[in-house]
Amino acid sequence: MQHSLRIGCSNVNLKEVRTFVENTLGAYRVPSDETDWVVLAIDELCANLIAHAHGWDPSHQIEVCIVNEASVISFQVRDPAPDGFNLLDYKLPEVQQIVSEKRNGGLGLILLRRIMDEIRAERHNGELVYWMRKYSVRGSL
Amino acid sequence: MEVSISEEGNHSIISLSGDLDASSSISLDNAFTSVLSSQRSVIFVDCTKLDYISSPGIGVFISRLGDCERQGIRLGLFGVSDKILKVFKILGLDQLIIIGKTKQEAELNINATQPSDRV
Repeated sequence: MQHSLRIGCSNVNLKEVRTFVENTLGAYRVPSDETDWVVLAIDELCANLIAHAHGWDPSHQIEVCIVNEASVISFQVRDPAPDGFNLLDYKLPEVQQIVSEKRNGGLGLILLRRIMDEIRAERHNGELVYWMRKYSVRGSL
Repeated sequence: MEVSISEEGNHSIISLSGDLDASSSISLDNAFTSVLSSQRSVIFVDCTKLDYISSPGIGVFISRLGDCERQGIRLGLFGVSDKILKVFKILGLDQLIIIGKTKQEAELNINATQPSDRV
């Protein structure tokens, strides 16, 4: 079973992403504390794509997909931009570096990496697909 | 997200309600600009009604902590839910920013900590 949501690349649509992830995982009876982490990770990935790959252009779209195969749940964020900037190529700063420089930015991808157990980016048919798993998140329907 | 500001004696209170994310973090940043100009010695952030936080919101706290330190102003958060505290903890930032369950606890933690301890 696959569930998907397509949004325009504007920060005002992040709430819709969070609600979509929360409701979908709720339907699979994923515990709320696990859901909270996934909601945050997907929010961070989408926010970074919206800003850094699409420059907050609401006419551009990205798609969030949640796939449940035999209770194994995986997550995808699909970026159709043909030359989309791969966020995973970005060299992450250390949290301590951000703190010492009192920077306002750079934490989102650190959170994404710390929350998800697996994350990779693959190009399929011109799309850049971010594929993620958090092992503790399993469906029970 | 809704943001309100109040002043009590020597401190300012920024009260947050709703979701603090990439679309709303600018509101918190603007609130800091306002309270920093009021020159009070302590800024509290009331998170009692804060439902969600993501990295842009945390980034505002980090960057504004620097402004507070430069001006000799202390910063403390209170009313932080377990859900939001977990986000600070996964980044290790609960050791950087003063957090209390209540305003009184945050105040005690501020008084027990020298400014340089947190830099």
